[in-house]
Amino acid sequence: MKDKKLEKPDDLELAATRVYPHGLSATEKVAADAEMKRLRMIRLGKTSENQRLYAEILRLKYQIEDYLKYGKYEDRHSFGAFLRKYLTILNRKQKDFAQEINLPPTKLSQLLNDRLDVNVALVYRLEKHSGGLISATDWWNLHAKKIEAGILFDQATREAEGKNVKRPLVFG
Amino acid sequence: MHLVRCHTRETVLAEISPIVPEELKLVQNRFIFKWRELADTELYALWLVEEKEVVGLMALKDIPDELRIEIVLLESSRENVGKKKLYERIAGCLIAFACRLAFLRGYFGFISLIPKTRLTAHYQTLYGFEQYGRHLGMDLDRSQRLIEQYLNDER
Repeated sequence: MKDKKLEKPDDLELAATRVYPHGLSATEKVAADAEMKRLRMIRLGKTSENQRLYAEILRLKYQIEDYLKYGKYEDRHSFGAFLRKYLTILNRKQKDFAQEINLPPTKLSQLLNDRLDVNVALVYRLEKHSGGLISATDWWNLHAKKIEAGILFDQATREAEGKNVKRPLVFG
Repeated sequence: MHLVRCHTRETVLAEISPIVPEELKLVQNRFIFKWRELADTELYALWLVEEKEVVGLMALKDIPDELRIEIVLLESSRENVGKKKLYERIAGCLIAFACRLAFLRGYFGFISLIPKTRLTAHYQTLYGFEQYGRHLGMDLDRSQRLIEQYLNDER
């Protein structure tokens, strides 16, 4: 006969698979939450500028990731728009930031306004500048998303280029 | 993100998305907690991409005044608890997802939960939680480490 105690998950397994209802009385819960709030405020008060910057850049990173995964291309989510957000988080003037990534200020301005195509060298520089938090591929994919939207909807170029194709395959 | 099939050590793709009460009705019998009785929480399900099967649930409470998200309840499905469980990493993925949400909402990645007392040390060891009175909490680099460990497969 099986010993049921042997089959019961141990505490480590329970912690690795569940978070239980708190099990506190109403009064205990109020006290626990008040204590949490007090300690949370202390923690927030002790958060350094560097930690705030870290969290804000991660926030931007996850916004970029979600947009790349779920969003359709929109100008307000272009490469330039996200780069502008990055500068706002850093609280940097364009001129200073351009210097930090060794780019002429005019080029940076064109990038921020999506009037210049992104290149591979730039996305590596941006990755390095963000301490590696926002990857070169995320920056690149923002640019690629715009190109993809262009390819999808540019009917005029599709038709013009189609005229260069001889003997296209036909099915059905 | 991925889970690990315990028997073969294969990785299996998984996703997390919000779950509505109608969908909960369909999966409730594979979970022991009363998920449909939860009020004022955001509910998320972790599901296997290929099988479209829900294997984990999590209820979150958003507390914007304190810039924190509380994990009210989290559960791996019955067949994923114990020595004979099918998949590993379900809870870790769900907790890491909550951390990511806490960054996205501008909470510095801060999440908390109230543990059963005897499980406290295990949550600390397994996930890196710190004590906040009766609560456990984590933020910033601890949260980011968990995200890297459980959600980012590419690096």
